[in-house]
Amino acid sequence: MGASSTRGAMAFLALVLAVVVLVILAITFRGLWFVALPLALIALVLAVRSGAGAPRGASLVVGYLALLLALVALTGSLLAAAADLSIDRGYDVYEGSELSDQPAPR
Amino acid sequence: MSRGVAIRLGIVVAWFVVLGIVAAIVMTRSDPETYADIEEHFKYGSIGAEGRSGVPASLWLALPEVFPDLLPEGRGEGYERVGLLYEEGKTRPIGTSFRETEVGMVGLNCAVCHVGTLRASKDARRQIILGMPANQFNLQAYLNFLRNAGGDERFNADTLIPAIKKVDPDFSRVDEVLYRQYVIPRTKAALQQLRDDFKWMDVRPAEGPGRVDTFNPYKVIVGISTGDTIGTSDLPSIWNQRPREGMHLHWDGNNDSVAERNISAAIGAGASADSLDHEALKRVRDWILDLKAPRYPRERIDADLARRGAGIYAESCASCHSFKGSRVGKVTPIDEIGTDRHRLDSFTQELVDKQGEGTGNLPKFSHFRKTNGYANQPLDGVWLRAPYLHNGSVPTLADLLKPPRERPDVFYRGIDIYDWERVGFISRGTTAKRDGFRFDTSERGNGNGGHTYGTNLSARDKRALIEYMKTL
Repeated sequence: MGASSTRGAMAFLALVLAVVVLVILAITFRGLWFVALPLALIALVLAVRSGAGAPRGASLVVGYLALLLALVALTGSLLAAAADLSIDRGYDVYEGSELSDQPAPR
Repeated sequence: MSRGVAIRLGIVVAWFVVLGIVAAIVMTRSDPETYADIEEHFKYGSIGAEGRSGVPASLWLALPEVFPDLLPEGRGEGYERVGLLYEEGKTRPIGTSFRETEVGMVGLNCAVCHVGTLRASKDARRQIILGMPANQFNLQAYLNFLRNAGGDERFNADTLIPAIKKVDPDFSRVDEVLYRQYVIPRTKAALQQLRDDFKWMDVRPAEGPGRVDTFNPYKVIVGISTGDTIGTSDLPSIWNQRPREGMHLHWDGNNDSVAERNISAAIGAGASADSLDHEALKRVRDWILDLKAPRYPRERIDADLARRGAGIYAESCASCHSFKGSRVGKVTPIDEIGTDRHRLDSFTQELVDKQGEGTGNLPKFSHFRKTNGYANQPLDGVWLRAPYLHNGSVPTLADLLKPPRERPDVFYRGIDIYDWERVGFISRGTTAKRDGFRFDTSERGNGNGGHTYGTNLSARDKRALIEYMKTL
């Protein structure tokens, strides 16, 4: 396999990873940010590295598309992580509250 | 590095630079809704209280729609049920403000505790009076509504977003994503924190409308125990602040700076050292320096009787309660005044020390001190400041001039129909019982003893004194 086809495969893999991350974010957003974030980073690295040499034609288009989607995916993952971490774990809506069983004050 | 990689790295860097700039703009955004007219500013302007205790605006509007059962029973709809006042054509009640931050937030301002209402009779038009104690507003009920909503299983995006769309036609698809993914879970967490922070309130007698425990919330903020102290006291009027400069302010006279007292009150409304809007607060401060109390209706005053009462007032009351009195604005020791001491004991030296440190994202205060009694207050507009004594335990002036054992043990407060005979608000009878809050003086902190000055006057002199006090 030549260097050019390796870069093409890299770009395609980056594109697939970025799409996977975007799907994860669309479904769970805060729920799986810890999976989405590393995948988005890998997608971005692959998308950048796929630009080595002088890719042309479909490889070039796929490479830039992957780069764009990886950036969007990484940004979304960072936002998801920031949102999740800024919510006090002790009172996280997804984990229930230690006070939820107490009678309501009136 | 090949040219292709360099270009891609350039794109990545540019992306994050732009993203950083956008994030900085969004996260530092703080644009309050502003009002040129000072009265509008007082009623609806922001003093920065959205920072610590604001609720996202669209969510705040929708909460009464989703949780009507968590509001107190009574007249009105939505937030009217906790005593908030709506004016014609306004979407938010008096005492609430709006500030655009990452999302638009609703907070409270000075007017929530210092705008009251009056009706001359049961069927009369309700008058809104600025600077008057908020006799109808039940802050505890408002807080409990938010606390209970935050802990309710219906507090989730699937239930709240349809309700938000009903009450807020500007709620966009982007807002929906933001609210679903971040705002609603974050607010739920914050309200559950609020529920925890105010747990001390659940084991104390109910405050009822027109009253607040001022300093126990402070103790939570600075991280000291509330113990079993009760600081519940009446909301004060805020007229004529200029002549009050230098007097010992608050019921126990624990601060002698009007400016610092104002900042402290803004903290009570929900601001923090970081969020406090000093310019907005200064506008209010400047305005209330010379804001006058409304006059008692002239046609309802017996001028001759009032003239006679002026002499009795000068002899029996003026030294402590006239603006020029020798003891006005000074603290009368608790052993002498004899009124309920819970409010006095709730403000502790430990809290004074913490306030001086500026812990808990509070400003550093330097004028607070621990006192040993209650401050002698000027009586401007006293006719609108009922119920009386620091804890609002005596419904009318006529009752206040009775010996403590003859004052009502139980009465109803929170009614804005005026009692022109006893001078105060209607506090007994069918209407009061139906619409009012039952105030029991036997509960801790609600004692109606003490302040026996004038109780030994003849019935005729008492009538004359009350007639004169209407004119203050």
